[in-house]
Amino acid sequence: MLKKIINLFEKEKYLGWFLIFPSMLIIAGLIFYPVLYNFYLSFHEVIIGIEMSYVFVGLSNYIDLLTDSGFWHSVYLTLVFTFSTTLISTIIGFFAALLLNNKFKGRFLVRGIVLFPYAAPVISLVFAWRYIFHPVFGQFNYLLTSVLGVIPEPIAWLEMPRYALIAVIVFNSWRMFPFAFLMLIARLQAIPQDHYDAAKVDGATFWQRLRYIILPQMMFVIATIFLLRGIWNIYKFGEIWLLTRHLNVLSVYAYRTAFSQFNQGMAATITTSMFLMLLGFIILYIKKVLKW
Amino acid sequence: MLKKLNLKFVFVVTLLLVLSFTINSVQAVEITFWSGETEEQRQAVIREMVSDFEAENPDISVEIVPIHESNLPDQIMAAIPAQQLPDVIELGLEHVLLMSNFDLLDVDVATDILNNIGIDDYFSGPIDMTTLNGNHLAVPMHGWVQGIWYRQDWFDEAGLDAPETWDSIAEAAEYFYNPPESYGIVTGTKADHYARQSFNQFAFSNNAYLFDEDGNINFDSPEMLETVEFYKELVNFAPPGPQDHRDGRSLYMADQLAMVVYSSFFMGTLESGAPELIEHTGFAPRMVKESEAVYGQFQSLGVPVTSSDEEKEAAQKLIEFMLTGDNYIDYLHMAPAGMLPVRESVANNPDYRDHEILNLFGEQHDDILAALEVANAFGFEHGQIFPQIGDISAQFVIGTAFAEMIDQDLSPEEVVERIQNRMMDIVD
Repeated sequence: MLKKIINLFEKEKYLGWFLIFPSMLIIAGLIFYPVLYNFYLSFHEVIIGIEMSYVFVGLSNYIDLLTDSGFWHSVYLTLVFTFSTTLISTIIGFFAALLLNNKFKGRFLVRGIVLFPYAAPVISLVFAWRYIFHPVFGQFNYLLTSVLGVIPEPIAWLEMPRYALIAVIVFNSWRMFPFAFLMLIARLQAIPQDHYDAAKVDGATFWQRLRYIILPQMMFVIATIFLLRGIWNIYKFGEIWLLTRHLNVLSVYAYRTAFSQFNQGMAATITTSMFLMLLGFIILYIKKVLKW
Repeated sequence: MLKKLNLKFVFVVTLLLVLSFTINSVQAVEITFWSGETEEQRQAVIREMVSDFEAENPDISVEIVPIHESNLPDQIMAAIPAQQLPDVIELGLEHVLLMSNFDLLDVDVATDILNNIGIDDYFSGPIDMTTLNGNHLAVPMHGWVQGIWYRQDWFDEAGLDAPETWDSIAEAAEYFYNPPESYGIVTGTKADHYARQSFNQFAFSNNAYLFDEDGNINFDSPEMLETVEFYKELVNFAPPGPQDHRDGRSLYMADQLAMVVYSSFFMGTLESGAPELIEHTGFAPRMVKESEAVYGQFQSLGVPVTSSDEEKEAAQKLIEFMLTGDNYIDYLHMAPAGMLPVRESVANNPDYRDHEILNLFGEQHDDILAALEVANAFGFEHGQIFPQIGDISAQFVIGTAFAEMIDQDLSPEEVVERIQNRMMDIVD
């Protein structure tokens, strides 16, 4: 009898492996293979031609990369872009969630509209924003020069490398705040009304309620948003490339190295370095901030 | 009951298999055509032409992929390792050389096509510029000339000369610069092909060449420095920040620009965007300083060596179909006066010449055609072809440095030094 039960367990174990095998195969093909192939390429010089050939160069790609000032400038741009967009979009998302957590007429409609930047296709948004940032016709310059008088002359925001970073941060923060809003409002709605009522009885102001009730309960969600947005924005390519060709964040730097300078080996080294940096950041973040 | 169902199932599956086999055997060859025409109206013409071709050749099906010329180097470089190169590819001169540098173009197919169409009928310019070491790399399709398009009415009113010399260009640019109401000139200063193309004409008019006669990079010559100095001076009369042809086009159509460096496609663009400006617009294809310079380009069709024999045969049929008879004239009329014929018999063909827009040009059309014959470009200098221009142009070295010049307020000496060093790095 006991043997029969053990046999049954054994059989079930094999069945389990059998059932997850297709998923494992897909994951291996779509994730492990590209990562490993990229790692392999980073130690080679890739000679492009009808017959591709690979020359082993050891660590020389890594040495060249670490001594390349262009790479470190890209690292700086990527970190500034990632940190500021994550911070700004989370703050806007947080206040939008607080605002739309109140009951008012048409709340559902407004919630839907708030999601628009996140749901709309990126290419149409980019076209609209390219127009907004245009030095002659754009509303952004009109606002800053003619209405507010903050700058004396219009600026080519997307075409000047020193301003392109600001323009891309503005665009990405606007586009991504609904994501933070969505996550935060879900958590906000889960806070029991009793807590607010009790605070009201104690005479707590809005800021005290925010500080002692809302924020402590939201911290985990905020930290998770930071982690996810951090991962996504460090790798961000499409939006940036479509908006401007003058912001050399790491993904753009890798793309240019691969397809404009035809140096696939070095491009693989850049992306491997990005991967390792991000892995380090995630491990540190999970241990120190999320405390998993 | 179950048995009956099973039998039916087997029958249907067998039928489907047989049908799919039959369909596959009819559609024997599928080829891909990377077209450089990305505008919807031109794509519609090409799609119709390709449908006619498929109707005539039921054993060939063609997939058209429109790719903008600025994205072409990236796409080619991504397609090589992925083994996804097309079977027919539209290429500018520098891209012909870029492909040729990687030994990717089938010169035998190109030669066959040229012989079938009639190589003697071609103007010498397009053939010379696509022939390297005696090999025809690609089949020239059409040409275009670049120059300065200007507001003839504004110039007449101000009593200014047509912008054909450096002095007249500078004088007009300054005269009409009255921001934000109007700007003097738009010329290329972004990291793209347009910047190299527009600067090229200024350089050649000052006898400044990118290569010396031995093929060394010669961007730091005194003539080139003088050209960059002049170019920077002109940029002062342009709208804020780096500019490209799209910026120039929008401003011109908005009545806010006196001059724009643009190809012969401009007239067609005006016709669809601001037809009221056509009669007020002049065109100066020749630029004079130390010598007279015309900048021109030829678009060609190439067949990559990576295609199979059947695919190459189908590609050859498609190219010959598009470049002969009425099809070729229909193709050129997609952008009348923009796409110029590369064959003498077509240039003189009444069917080609009888077109509303071409009639607007009148005698100037002949002048533009004549200019195309003497047109030149970086890399095609001193009667030689320097294939390194393919790699150099793919990296937008000149445009990148001009964008940096505006962003970082670089001196002309710094711009020249950066371009020289970067080009030497690429060539090395």
